[in-house]
Amino acid sequence: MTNDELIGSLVAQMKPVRRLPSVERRTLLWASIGLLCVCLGTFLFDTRAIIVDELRESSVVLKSGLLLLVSALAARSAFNLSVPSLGNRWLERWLPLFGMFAWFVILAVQHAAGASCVAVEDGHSLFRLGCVSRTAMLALVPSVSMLVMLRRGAPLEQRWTALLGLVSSMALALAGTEILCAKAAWSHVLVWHVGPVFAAGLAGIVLGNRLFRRNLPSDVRRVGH
Amino acid sequence: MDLDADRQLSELMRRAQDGDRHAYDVLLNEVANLVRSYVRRQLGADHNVEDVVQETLLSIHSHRHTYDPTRPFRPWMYAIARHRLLDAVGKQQRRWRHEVLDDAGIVDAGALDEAPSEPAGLAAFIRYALAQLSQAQREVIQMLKLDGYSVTEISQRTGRSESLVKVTAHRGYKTLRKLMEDEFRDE
Repeated sequence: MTNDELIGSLVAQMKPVRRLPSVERRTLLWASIGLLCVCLGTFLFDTRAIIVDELRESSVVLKSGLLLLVSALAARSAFNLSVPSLGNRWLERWLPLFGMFAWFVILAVQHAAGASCVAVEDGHSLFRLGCVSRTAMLALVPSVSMLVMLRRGAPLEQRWTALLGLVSSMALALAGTEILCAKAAWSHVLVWHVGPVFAAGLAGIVLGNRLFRRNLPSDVRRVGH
Repeated sequence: MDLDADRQLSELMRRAQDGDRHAYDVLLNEVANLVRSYVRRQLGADHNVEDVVQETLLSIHSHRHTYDPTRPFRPWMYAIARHRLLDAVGKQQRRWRHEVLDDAGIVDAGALDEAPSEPAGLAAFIRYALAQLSQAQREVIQMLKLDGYSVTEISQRTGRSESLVKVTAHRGYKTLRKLMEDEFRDE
């Protein structure tokens, strides 16, 4: 097919489109949905009785605040990447990941200072699967809505988009898990809190191309062949 | 960037998003010309140019809802074209790999009475590999290996010192070796 024929066919078949909302609007919409889900889920999972006292601790506020900030930055970067030509700045992509690393460093510093050596409540051991399933459940709706909203765009760098999208959902869920889970051993936090975020990021890198692969609409496919 | 031209393209796309077919027709024709020039600069006179142009037009058609009329048009357009170009180059490399393996199999089987002429796929890959070298490296390697000149003769002809000729050739071989390893490594 020549270019003229292709252009003629595309023009003949074209219809008005609904423009994608701005990145800021989409980020705000997703953040609202995500925050609502995580707050509701955290409440339903039964917060600890001492949560009010917990929130008075500056370290808890700092860590939770950092996780929410990471989630917002990662979401914004993912939505930027879902529009061709946006999201090309190096810092914009890596800042959320640096934020996660900073959260990890705070955790390590706390551990070194002996702040998180309190034994896990109820004799729970290192192998506490409850935190993973709780994080996964808290992340479910934010993750699905994130992927649906990203697919509405046109991510060209699919692995990066998936990585940042999933990290944003998991960081949001982790903020809830941190409130729900009793102060646990360093090894427990590392494996069962940080681990799922790391695994989700890895899944995004591996599956990114498949998650955002989109077959051209059937009318467009016919034109191109 | 020519701002007036970009504003015109942006306006055409905005009208196309609202359903103006004439604007869309003008826009796609202009996009085809711009993308063709861009791809030719990257690929040279390659038969893949028109394929990439058509893939880009199809992608622009399916992604047109993502364009924000308040932003410049050409960065958006070139971002799509660049990715379609990378896809095309990736497909071509996979095709070369497949063709080279097929050709090697025919030669090994000894099915021919006389030595075959260089397989088309392999020749294409070698041309591609040489094209990845700098002009100096390509020139030195061609003179050394294809034209049969000695290092001294190349030094006299090109005005480079003999040590520079050797270093240039060495760097070129290293690049070619890496390309060959990447292409022929089992997946």
